[in-house]
Amino acid sequence: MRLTFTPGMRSWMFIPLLASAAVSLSTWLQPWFERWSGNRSRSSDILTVALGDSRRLFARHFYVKADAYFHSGYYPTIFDNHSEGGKLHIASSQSGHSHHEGDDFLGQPKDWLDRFSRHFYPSHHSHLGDPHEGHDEHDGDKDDAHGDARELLPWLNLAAELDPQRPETFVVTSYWLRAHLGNPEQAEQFLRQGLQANPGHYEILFELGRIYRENRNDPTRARNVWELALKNWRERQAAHEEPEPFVYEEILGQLAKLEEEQKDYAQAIRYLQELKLISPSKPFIEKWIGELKEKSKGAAH
Amino acid sequence: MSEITLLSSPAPLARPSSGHENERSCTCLAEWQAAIVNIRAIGALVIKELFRRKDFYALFILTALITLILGSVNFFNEAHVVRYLKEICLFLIWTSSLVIAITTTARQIPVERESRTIFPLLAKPVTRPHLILGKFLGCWQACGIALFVFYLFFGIVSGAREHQWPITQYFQAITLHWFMLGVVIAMTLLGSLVFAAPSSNNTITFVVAVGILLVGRHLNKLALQVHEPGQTLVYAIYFAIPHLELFDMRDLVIHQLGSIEWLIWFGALGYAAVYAALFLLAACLVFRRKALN
Repeated sequence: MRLTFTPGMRSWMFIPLLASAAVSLSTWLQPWFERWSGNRSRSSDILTVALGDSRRLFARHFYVKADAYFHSGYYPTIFDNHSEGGKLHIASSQSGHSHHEGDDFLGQPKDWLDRFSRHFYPSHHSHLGDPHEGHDEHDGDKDDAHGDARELLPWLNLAAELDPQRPETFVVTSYWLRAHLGNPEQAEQFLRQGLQANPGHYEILFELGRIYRENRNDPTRARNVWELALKNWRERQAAHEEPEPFVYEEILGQLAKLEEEQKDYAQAIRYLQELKLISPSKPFIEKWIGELKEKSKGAAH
Repeated sequence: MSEITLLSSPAPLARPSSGHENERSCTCLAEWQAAIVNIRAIGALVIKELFRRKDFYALFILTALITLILGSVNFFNEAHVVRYLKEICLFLIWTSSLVIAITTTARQIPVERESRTIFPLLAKPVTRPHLILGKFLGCWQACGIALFVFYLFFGIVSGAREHQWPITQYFQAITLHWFMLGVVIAMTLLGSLVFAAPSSNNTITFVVAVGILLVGRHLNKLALQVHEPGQTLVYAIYFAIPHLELFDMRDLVIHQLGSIEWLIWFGALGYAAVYAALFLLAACLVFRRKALN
């Protein structure tokens, strides 16, 4: 008996055929997709899945946003001339770098419209917590300078979420948490998150050491962490990765200070002699070494 | 006499009977009163339309939802972190208000023409300028109501977080925002008479408004970097465009930088009124010569 198919039945027969083709293709493609370097689904982070590598751009944007908040919205756009160096002001505050305070990127009003428009946006250089100039005081109480620093945290947190491979974000956030908001517990926790994303990073370790030294008063742990930071910095230099020289100076300086306080003058002098090789303020370090030698002699007697 | 002229000639509500001069002034007054009644009646219809449509509700719920979700995020156990929330909420309010203003306005006249309801609407005593002004007033009032709801929500959210109620600052922010929308609405009304479809008008007006908000302030700096005759052209654009960004005092609200001087605030409202009047006048002139079918 010969089977005959109507056109309608033939159309229905295509469905199992296409379904089996789809299953066969998926069994072939799935292993390849799992191995593919561009596979975002391997990441458990929803932001990585959604944004891919573009998240780094957003992270930079939010990091800059935190700096804009630090200046209470007075911040240059891409159309403005500004003499800002590589580091943002919030990062400069953390590392102790000087900042060009008089940076008036707006300059004199260029026309009547420019002059008029400056009443509607922040047009005076100020920082979080500064008394406001050029505008009336608003109703109600005003937060103190230290409390206002909390306003930076959402953007810094978001920047760290989006780009955890950027140690600067963790270090800067930790600085503002411990130094301005009196919250070293959260700062330490955040730095540990940073260390998970950037294992053994010297900058994060240095900041962690500062928490142990300045907030916990635990010189032994601070020394251990700073020594590890020093070792890791040297390893990076040996690997020609051009690590930040300023952090190296900071680590050596803090270690020397710590050893001086712990009365291990010989070790402190060793650190200072290393520091002298790279520091721009050699006379100061030589004077410091001289003082330590005097103290060392006094201790020996 | 053409059909258009017939429809355009307003009819006075009452005709006075004593004295030639008196008669003329009374006729003017009656025409003026009739115009106001007509404009307000058309405006009321637009407001009702805003309440009937779901655009406003959807955008308000979306704004509230996003703000409340972001407000519930904990950053390092720090309470009273509020500026990021204000920034996001205000950004959503500005986006929503622009969408409501442009989409509501862009469809007003094309829909009337497509459904042919414009013919009975333009029957005596409603004139074409009355229709334009009525549509403008309705859209502007509708946006004002929407803005009031949005800013009330914003005030409650930020007040609950920072325990401050800068009422003066909020009043200035909402009025400036509302007058800025007045310019956008007038611009959209003109666009709805110039462009073929509401969709193209929506897109073009939105791009122009956002473009002005983003780069309007910087065109003078840009002009300095351009050679002649480009410099003159960019400067001409800079002085000709309505500077919508003038009405954006979000940064002052976010960073608690206080209110603006009242004279400056009043000047900004006047600036917006002039531009809105210009666009409305242009819309009336274009509509006067426009075929309705």
